[in-house]
Amino acid sequence: MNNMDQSALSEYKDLYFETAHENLKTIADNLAVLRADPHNTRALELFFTTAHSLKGKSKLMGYVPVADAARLLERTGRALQAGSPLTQTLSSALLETTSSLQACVTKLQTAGEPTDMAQVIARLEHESGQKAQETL
Amino acid sequence: MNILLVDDDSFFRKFYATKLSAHGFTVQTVSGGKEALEYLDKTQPDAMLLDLIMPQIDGFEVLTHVKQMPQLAGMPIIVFSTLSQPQDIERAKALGALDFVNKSSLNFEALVSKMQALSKKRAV
Repeated sequence: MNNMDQSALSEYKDLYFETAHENLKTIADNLAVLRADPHNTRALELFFTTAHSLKGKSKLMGYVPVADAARLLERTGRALQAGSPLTQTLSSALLETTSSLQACVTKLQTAGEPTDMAQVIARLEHESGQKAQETL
Repeated sequence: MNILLVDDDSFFRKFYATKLSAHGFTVQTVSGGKEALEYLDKTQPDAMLLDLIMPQIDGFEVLTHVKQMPQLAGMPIIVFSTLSQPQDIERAKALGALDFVNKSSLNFEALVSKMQALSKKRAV
């Protein structure tokens, strides 16, 4: 089999959207736990491992804005795990990014194009000190 | 060739199981490290494709446990990565992983080639 192109991935779109929405619910639920209890290690682990999953499949499917925002959530989660504080402004930026991602995935599913994530990504980059772009 | 595919995300489990099955591999999937170790306690696959970043028992912990299971000595383990953390790959190799594939890449051919090469080695 030659390298896959996007058309070869089309049969996986339904599965992608089904699991992406599940991922985003898990991310949102665990972010809510972290906002109330920033030291909840289980919620933090689920937050960044789920963002990691969302990033990987979004990259595979070619949904770059979703992959970038999910990568930024993952990196921010890893930084929190390493001891960075969850400040009020960072918490707010994480919430905003998660909500925007949910809207972005919904628009991708219904209209075939993503929403503009640039502003929320820039804000979260500023608050977290992390980068959304792939570094390799 | 029997492959155990370990990934906490159902999208990747279904995607890669379908693709590898279409190339003649027999694929068993499990959704996490705990399930992988339970499976490996009873069954010896020919190879394992292992995600690293998973909640609870992650891929590193699975590698550590597998090292202590003599019945699995020589079983090739390919790490399933998105290459976000290069240090993770090195750590996995130090724990016994043979190689890695980028599971977010469209180059599925590379994975099939690696699995076919492993299959030929085991057949010799």
